[in-house]
Amino acid sequence: MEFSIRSAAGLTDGLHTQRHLARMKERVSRLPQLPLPLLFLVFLILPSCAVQQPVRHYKAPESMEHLKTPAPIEPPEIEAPVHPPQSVLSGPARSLYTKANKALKSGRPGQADMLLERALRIEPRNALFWHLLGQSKYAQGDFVQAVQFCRKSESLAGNNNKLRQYNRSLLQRAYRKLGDTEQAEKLGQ
Amino acid sequence: MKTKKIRRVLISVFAAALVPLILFLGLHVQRLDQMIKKKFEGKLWALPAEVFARPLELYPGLALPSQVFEDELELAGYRQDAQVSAPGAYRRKGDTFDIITRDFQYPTGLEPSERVTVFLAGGTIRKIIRSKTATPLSLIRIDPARIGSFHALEHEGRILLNRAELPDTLVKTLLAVEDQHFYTHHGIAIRSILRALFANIRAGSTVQGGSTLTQQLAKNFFLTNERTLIRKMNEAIMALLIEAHYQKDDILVAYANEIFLGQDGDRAVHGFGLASRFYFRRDLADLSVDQIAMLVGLIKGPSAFDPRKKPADCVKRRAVVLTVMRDQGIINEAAFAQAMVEPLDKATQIMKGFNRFPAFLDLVRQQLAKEYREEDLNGNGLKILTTLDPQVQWQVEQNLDRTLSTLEQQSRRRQLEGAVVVTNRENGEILALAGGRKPFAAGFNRALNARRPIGSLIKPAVYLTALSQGYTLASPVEDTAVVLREQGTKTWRPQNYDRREHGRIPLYQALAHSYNLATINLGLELGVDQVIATAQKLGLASDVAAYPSFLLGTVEMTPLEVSQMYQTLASEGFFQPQRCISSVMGADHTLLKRYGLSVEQRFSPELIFLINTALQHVVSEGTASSLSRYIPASSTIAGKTGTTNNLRDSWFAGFTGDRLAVVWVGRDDNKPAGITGAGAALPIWGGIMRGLHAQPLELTEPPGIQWARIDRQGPASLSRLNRDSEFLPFLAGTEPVSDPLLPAIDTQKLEQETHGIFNSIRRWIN
Repeated sequence: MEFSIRSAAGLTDGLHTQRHLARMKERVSRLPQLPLPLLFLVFLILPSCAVQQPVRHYKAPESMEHLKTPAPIEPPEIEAPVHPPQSVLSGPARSLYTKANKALKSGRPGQADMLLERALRIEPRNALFWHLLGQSKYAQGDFVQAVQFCRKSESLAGNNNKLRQYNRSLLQRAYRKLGDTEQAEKLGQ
Repeated sequence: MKTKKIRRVLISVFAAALVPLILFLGLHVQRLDQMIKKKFEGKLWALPAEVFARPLELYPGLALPSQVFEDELELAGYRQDAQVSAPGAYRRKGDTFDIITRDFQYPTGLEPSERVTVFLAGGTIRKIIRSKTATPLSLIRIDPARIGSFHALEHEGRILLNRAELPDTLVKTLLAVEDQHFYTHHGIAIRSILRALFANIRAGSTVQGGSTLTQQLAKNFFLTNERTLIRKMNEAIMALLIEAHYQKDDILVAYANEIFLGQDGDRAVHGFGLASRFYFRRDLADLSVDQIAMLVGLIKGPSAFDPRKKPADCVKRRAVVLTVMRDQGIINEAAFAQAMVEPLDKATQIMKGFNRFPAFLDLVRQQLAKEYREEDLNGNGLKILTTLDPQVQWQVEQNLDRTLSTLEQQSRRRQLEGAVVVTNRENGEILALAGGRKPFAAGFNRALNARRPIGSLIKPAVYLTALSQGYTLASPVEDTAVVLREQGTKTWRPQNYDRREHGRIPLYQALAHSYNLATINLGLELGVDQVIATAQKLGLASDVAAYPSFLLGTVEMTPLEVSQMYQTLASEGFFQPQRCISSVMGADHTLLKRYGLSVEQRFSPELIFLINTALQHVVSEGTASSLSRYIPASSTIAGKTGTTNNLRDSWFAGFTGDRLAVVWVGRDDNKPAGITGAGAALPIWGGIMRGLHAQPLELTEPPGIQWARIDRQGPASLSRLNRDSEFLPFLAGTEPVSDPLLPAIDTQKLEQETHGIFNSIRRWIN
């Protein structure tokens, strides 16, 4: 029993683990400068912390649901397009996108938001940037905005099928989180 | 014995007199003490909130004329410096700029100072390199211009600096000139006073002041300028008290923020921070040696050495200060020689007030007031990063006043006023705002507060409702007379602007030509409440009674509210709250609040594509066709004109590929202004967008769209040979097919057309 709880939490809430990591990291960065090896050790220990106390970091009802239903097989929680088509990432704000992607992957979605908004000031109609903003909102648990930014990205995606696919997949996951299985399944077809 | 007795009596009388005197003095000192504490601590610790424009982003390919770039640098307080020696300096050689940016704390972290060279050509950035290594840079930003500050009322118009913000050169010069023993005396320097006294007696008039900085500070705490002995004594007591209570550095800071340095109209210029802005339009930290010398020289007499009114005296006084600087080793011989010959001219360009963009700041303040208490806003040193784009703001200010003046000259129209709001098309950030013709005058902010009927600007809501109920752009609508009787009112007979009826016309043309009768007939069929619901989905915030007159725009809105509504059209169906602040940081640069981007899709992309296409027809063939005088037709702008009863209000709202702007023109007394939307608001809009090199508008075509050709006179699809036909988008499946029952193909017309067949083909290819 204990094992199954662990695996459910571990599978579906990799994201939360990441967020947890990020928070810890931020906390750590606020502390006085620690020697690097010590930091490394902290990171080694952290993931196990997350598994031991998963409930602390998301809403109780939701977590209960995860425990009841078997974990669905989903794509990894954060799958920002790493190698988008060159044409999409050739503008002046490309470096900001890369930084935002990195920030998101290292669990700093707030930072990613700011970088992406700056990128969008420079390239306002870049569908990829809007998509990553959706990813970032998802990572912050703001599934309503995740859906909206995906739609915005979708409206500007043109015939970039790869990006459309990313959008669809994120939309699906966000709808599921919102409890709108009907919409999610419609997208799955 | 007798003398002893007399002495004893005298002593007791004296003591009897002394007790109340001491008591009185004690009370007086206490009173002064409290006064000092109040003044001093209020001044020292109330850090004003500072407001910044958006940072200028630089990257190869950005359209940026060299002069505009230089203006941006100047606004951000950069100074021209042939050596490019320190952060905040730049050197321009033709189209090449050498710049050292300044450190700036953004919410994302510190962006350190960097020396870069920017190459421009033909109004575009070609290359940016890091000067040291010559490595090309793809993107950098210039630290943002400080555009204003919010102070508690008593600090209004001050720039309060802390000790670290006082440049070393300034402090050394100040002490050398005004108070050499500042760090060792206890508030008053007896020796200096005696020396001054002798000098003054010898000269027969006041030639030398013996006051320490502390005494001068105490003097500044009194509002009057009388010179009495009692006043002098009070100053001395206060000086001693200040020294007893506060550290030398705190006194120095208070002095630097308090000292009187000039007059800006009816407002006194206090403190080095504001004086630096007032005389040189830049931050104190960015001043050159000669400028510092001038400011220190002004302490002796801001009006006697006024650089604008008495330049010769000012230069002489500056030379005195510079000499002291050299003699004390504050500057070397070379710097002295250079500073001595610097012209004063930079100081003579008057910068009216510090809050350069008062209308925009109104908006910022209004927004912040919702979330911050007045004292937090004014006293905690908040850093407010806004979305103001100075380039856009300059265009708005220039075009608004210029066009209104032209309009007034051309006709007998008088007292025209106007307001403009410009936003970013995709993210809803407010880039510029004009609350009236006079950009520097504080007062009634029409963009935020003038609530006027919006006239035909409401019509897109009517036609969008129609499209959502199954109409197409080609659906026939009836532009025929209608008589309405609203409860409790007179019979209403709306008319078209040209007072004619146009019969049965395709829907998109009714919008393009802004026909009132067609709109009313259509709106009544759709249901006024339905149209109101659409307007609210677009962003209309208020509740409106469902009278038919709503269809012609009797609803009253401010220009800002209108722009929120059109923002949803401009960003293709996504509602987003417009924002003028991007983030608020604490004095220690921690991020306190972020006003992030949020969007909400409220209309299907297909419907929005159709209505926006129709709005493009307003410009290409409808009421806004005169826009082609300002912006080439190939820019395919989408927009709408608005005019209200008796030509009281003139509106234009429209968007380009990158920006949305709403312009209102009318009179403050709401009397007929004799202007139409196309006649007044449109030229202003056109001038602004032309000045900004507007990007062409390319609407995003969603997958479910089919194009078909229709006859302008009727709804059926037609051959391409028909010159009087239009190619229009339809929701797939709703496009018209040739209907033999309708006079779709007029054979006679077709024959005429064959004459100009090549023209037709060219037209079709185009």
